[in-house]
Amino acid sequence: MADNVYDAIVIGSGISGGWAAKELTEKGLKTIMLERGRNVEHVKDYHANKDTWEYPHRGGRTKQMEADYPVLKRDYPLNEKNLDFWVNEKESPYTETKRFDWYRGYHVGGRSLMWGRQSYRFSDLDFEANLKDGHGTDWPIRYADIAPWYSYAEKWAGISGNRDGLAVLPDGDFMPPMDMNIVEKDLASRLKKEYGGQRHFIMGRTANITKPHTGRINCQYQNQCWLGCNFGAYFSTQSSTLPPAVATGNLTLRPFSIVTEIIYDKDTQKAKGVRIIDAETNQTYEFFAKVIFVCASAFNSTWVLMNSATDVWENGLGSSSGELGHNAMDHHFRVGAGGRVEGYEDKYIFGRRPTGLYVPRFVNVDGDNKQRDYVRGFGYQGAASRGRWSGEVAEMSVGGDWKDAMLEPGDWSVGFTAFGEILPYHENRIYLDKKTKDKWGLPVLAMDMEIKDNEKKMRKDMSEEMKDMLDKVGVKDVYTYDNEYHFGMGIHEMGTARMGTDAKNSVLNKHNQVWDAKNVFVTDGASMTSGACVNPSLTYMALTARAVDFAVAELKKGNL
Amino acid sequence: MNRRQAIQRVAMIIGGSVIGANLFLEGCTRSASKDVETLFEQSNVDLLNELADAILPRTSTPGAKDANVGAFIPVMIRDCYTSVDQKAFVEGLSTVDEVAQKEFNKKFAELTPEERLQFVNRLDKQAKDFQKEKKEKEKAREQDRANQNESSTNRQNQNANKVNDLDEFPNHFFTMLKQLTLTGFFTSEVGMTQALRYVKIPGKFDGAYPYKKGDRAFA
Repeated sequence: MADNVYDAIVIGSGISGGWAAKELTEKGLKTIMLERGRNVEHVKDYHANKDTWEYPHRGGRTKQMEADYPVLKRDYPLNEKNLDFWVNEKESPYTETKRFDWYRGYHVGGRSLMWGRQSYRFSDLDFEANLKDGHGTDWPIRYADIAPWYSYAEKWAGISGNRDGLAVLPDGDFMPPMDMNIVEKDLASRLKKEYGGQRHFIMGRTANITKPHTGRINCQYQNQCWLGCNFGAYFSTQSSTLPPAVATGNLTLRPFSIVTEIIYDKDTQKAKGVRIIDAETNQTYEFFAKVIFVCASAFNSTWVLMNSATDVWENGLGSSSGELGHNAMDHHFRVGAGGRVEGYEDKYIFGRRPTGLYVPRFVNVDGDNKQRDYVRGFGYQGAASRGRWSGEVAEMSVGGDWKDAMLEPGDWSVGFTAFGEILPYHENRIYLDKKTKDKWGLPVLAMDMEIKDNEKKMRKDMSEEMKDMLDKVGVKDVYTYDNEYHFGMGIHEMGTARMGTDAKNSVLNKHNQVWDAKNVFVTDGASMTSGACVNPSLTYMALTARAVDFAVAELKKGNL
Repeated sequence: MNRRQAIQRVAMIIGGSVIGANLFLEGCTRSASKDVETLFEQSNVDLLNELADAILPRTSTPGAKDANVGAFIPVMIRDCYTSVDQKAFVEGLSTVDEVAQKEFNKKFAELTPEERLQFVNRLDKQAKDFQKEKKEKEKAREQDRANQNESSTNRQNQNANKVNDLDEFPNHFFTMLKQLTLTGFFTSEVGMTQALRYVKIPGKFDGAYPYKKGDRAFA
């Protein structure tokens, strides 16, 4: 076999790419995983050992950082501690036809290193939503199609959570849940009583393991996951999917490999391989394989398709339906409520738990008696905590007594942020901006999307409903907030190469297979037909494992 | 193959070259104005330590001087503050001894602990009034601009990018000093491990951990 010929090519090494590489290599396929950025080695390249005081700005942001990262600075991600996990914005610009905040990680592991780790299953409420209310196109799969693959992904990735028995949020194959603190437990039982079992504060289901698993050490409650975990306690490519892929002896990992296009063969109507630019040397290389998995992160996966087979389809591989680049989604958030909890002065919290409470969707579901002026819904993430006293007083706020008072914990408080579904609007799209080039002379993406009436109406409920709940469970001084959402801030880019029931309405079929080239599979966020309101990464894991299973079976049958 | 071997194998496959440059380190070496550089002179670091220690003095637990907050503050002023704030800070600091002289007939470093407390408490009150006024001014100006720009389609982009340095009303010297003293102290090794309780690797979670009045908070 020539050294540029493989059985399979995986583009991207994040959550989806890592899963594709694991599954393909375990099924015996010689696989090359192409990653556009540098390598990040497990433990060695993490920042977990360093304490806050070892950073010159104690983890903060400098003016130079703000100048270098004009996008990252718009929200919390810009910080001194894990700056090298975020994309170099000067090298890789993009165009904002409308404001779009794009938080990217271009390195081995991608955003699996910095992700929020909340892991929820979609339910049939989600898979049937498009069909029922007419927005977007129908999902070509239902919960029963993906449920076994959710189990499969959960069992390997290690998802801790409680089996809550709720129809809107199906239970999975979980590790033991993390614990609620004493205040959360009381609030949860009061909420259940107040709402007759219709609403729930449940323990957040998170990709942090709570017992040793596949050679990884269970969570040590440091809550500094996004610096990289020396214990491998949270799911990442490095901790979970790369080791077994490497262990097969079938994997070649090639960092600094920017895939510029998929090479399409008109005669066979299949892809032959990919062309790359080496990001360090600017040399062009080609790699060939029987099957290609595109897992470059939602919008970049679509970018690869848009740049491929343009001699056959002007708008790129997979564009025959006219849907490539369209139906872009995210989750809208930064809205919610909080308040002060009285009492519990004799209780405190030991350990820093890397998850919180979750409130499953309760609007527009069975049992919701209110008339809503929007479709779909939202969930909440939050927590009760006992923070430090802020030191804010009218009287003397300097000196020794004041300092000593500040060394003690303050009141308990509770706060929640809502995450809402964004409908798949055809006109919310990305496209190639051929006039603007990146460091390697490649055209960049232009972002042209916005939230609309449905989301704006939902946002009112997203704060008001939580205010009502907190009032009812006895929280004091309840406040609401809306800190404004801009598209992309959820860091849950979805859509632009959606799955569908027909080649006329979608880019991918029910196996994540490109209608226009059946040996090309797109299994990351690009493939999503709708977004639901839950964190999407677990669904990418399940879709990826499912698609690999199908692809390898098809290969064996000689169908690819 | 166990996991450790697997990881070593990955390292071999990619050749072990890592280019993860800490970009922010480059960021910190930017040339600052001469005035700001004076903050790094030992006399100013000493004065900042004394002032910070008046805000957070040593009690039964260490204070700001123990945490060498005076060395942290110039780094932050140089790298993280706008030129308008830098100027205000340098000017404010330069008047400390004058004011002390006028009020107590001696330099700040020579004041008794009681006099120091009196000194910073008065500055704290002045600073609070000043900040309140600044907020009102900014609000009024924003209103002005909103009226002017009502038809502008570019509002979103303006929100995304902070207004120009030169447009800013400076913060009060003492407000910056106090904030940096608090940040510097509570993120220092001394502050986190000796004033607060710090457990780097808790190893477990207890959401009903016993607490009695006087126990210190966890960092």
